Amino acid sequence: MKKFLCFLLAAAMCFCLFGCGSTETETTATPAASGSEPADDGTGTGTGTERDSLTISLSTELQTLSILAQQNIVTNQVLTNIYDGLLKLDQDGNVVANIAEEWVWDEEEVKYTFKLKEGIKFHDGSELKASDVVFTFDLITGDYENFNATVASQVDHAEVVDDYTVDVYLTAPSATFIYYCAIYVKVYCEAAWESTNGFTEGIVACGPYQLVSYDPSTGVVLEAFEDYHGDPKPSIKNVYFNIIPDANTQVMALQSGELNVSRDFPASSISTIEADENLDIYSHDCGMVYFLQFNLRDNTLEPLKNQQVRQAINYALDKEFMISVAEEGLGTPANSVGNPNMFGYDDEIPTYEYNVERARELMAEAGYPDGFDLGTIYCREGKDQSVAEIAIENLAAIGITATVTMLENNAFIEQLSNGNYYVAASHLNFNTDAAQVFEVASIRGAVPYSGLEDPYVEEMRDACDLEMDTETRREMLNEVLDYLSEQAYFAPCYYPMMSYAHTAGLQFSGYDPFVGLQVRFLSWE
Amino acid sequence: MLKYILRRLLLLIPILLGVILLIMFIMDLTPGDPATLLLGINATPEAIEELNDELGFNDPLLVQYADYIIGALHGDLGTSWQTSRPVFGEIMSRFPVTLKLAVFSIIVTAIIGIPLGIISAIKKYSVLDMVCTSVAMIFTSLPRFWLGMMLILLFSVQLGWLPTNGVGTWKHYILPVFTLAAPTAAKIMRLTRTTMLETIRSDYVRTARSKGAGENRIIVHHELKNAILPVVTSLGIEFGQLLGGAILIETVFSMQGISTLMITAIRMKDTPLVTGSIVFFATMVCITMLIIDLLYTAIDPRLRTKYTKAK
Repeated sequence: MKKFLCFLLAAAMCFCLFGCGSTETETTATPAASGSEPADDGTGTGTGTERDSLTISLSTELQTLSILAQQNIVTNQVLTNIYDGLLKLDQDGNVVANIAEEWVWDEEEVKYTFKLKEGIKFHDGSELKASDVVFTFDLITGDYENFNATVASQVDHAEVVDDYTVDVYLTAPSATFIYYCAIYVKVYCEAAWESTNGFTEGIVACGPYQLVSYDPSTGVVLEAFEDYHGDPKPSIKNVYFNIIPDANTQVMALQSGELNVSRDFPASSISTIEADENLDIYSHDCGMVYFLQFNLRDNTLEPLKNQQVRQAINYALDKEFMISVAEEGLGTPANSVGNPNMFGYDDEIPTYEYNVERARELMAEAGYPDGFDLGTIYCREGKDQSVAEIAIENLAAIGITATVTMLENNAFIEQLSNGNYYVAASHLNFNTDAAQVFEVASIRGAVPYSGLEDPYVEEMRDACDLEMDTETRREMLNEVLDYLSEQAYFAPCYYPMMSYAHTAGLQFSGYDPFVGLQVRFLSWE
Repeated sequence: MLKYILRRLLLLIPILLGVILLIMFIMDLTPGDPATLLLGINATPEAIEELNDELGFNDPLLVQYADYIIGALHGDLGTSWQTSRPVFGEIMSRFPVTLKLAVFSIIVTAIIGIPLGIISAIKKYSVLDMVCTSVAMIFTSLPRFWLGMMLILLFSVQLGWLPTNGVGTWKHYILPVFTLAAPTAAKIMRLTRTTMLETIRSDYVRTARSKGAGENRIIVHHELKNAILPVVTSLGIEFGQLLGGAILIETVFSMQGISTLMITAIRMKDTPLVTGSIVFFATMVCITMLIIDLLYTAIDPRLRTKYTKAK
């Protein structure tokens, strides 16, 4: 009997060890990973097993097919390949021509005149005309204004001048309009609006890929649009976005060759991926920043009202360590809630290097040589939590004691918007213009969780919006970022890299730091 | 009997009314509002307020409840706040996956669990019994998500025999069904073994044996028939739970079933979708329980007589 039990236990142990060990094992090249043999699993969505196909993971289903409704990052990642914008941003975040080849600002009439490129085709073969652009602006300022508040509040109305010219009248001069236009305004096909039930049951756009099918239980199938007007044209013909919510399953699907690109792979699996000769990691800058948010309302802790204390906290944070723990090294230390890819950011912004001695000096100067109790640092699950946990260790070195409380997303937002906190670890995904920083730094912003009401910031917010001269505006935005940094209203931690684990042999020729993965930049070696 | 079925179906009404109220009350207690989550960072406070009004989120709970019930009576479970698609359609698009998983798992569970339990009980303390109970113990104690991952690593990554995720073909169901069925089968096997051992010792079995009844007849007609009732109950409860989805399995194997739908809806504070899914789930559990009760009468003549008398 004993022998038998021993045998059973040993067998169970072997099973466990085999399972655990296999994550570290290098797999042999599967046909899919090497892209040599076609396969069809008959699912509609499928596997990128040929050189002309690619499978990308999605962590959830799409929220909507309509670009007019609010999309989460997952939805955006897919739709950005199907729709095309009136304007677009280049690699450096500058606004460049796309569907509109030129645009002219008319100060007197408070309007932009857009000259459209001729011969642009929609996915149904019809030609894109000025009426489609006007139709798009009518939707944005009409039934969908809630979902496009930024652009909707800036545009009064749009008019057709001729087939390829559109006048867009603004409610007031606005320098940010052209940036928001490049990010949010995708041109809709007026003729297809009815047949697709307001683009909820299908899409007719003019982007590099067209929608073949969408099934919420499996994923999205796209096909390259041969008449795409832009450059580069898509080189991979079939694209499958398969829904794989679990990050570990994504890695296993990559290893088995069923998946070619995973955006959500866990940082802890980086070494496994790097050790696998069939897999690679591609990283690029993105618009995200992790930071500590201070409550700056009257109800906050007395020490947090002191600039020197906030600066001391900034000096005390070991940003490199945060990057190594939360991102496995894939990130850069942050010196602003603004992002290096933003228009208006420059490298001269004051930086708080990790310096515990300097932090202690500042605490002593501020009258808190023995530190103080900060209470709870709130955070959400994920990397915010790592940031908060490292922060309490760092702050302990200068005498500030704190604990970490993790909240569910809704509870976190409510706690912050009501000002029921002193410090929170959070992150934001900004777009290309530094004026976005006002959304967190101004009391009139969209996420004014800090409760900051600084007259200078409020004044600059209005001034930056009205200033139409590009260079002057860049300088003004830069001044604001300098000021926010000097005042230490936030404690920026790091800028993460956007990373993709992918099948070896896949080339990335470009990216958009603020939009995400665009398949037309991808090709097989 | 018909009267009994009808009464049980009528009982569904107060149960569902209670469930709906409870869910709406709990959702009302949770922090956050849907418009903030739907409109994102660039939305103005006015836009958020307007959308919340439009969605009916700002109405008092009882008004929301009454609206929901009136809608439900007209066959309308509402529209998802998140996707703007009808809730019923959302549920139905996910239900086939969950139903297939549940049915296959319960069949596999019964096919493996019950015979092994019977064999273990009949051959008590034999090597076979030891193997069965030990393996059952291992499978009962393994967390399902871990077992699932290990199976993917072995059969998909290492051997390349089966797909890691998705729902397209029958092959996609093998690993998740086994992962779901293995621990349940182990439980059913142990339960069958225990109840069989109880009946084996009973007087009527001894009597049947002394009357010279064949061993197979004793096992099937005397022992199993009496031992199977708690097993059927247990299988029914498992099936009901599986219809509500197996969140971990659906997540690990990327199967977009009811539970992933519900979890996403809870995260987005999509009250109509959460309520709709739970109402659907509650109805499924109630119907399953009714079917189980009816199965009892088929198995146990004593119960059958009771219902016949009641009639």
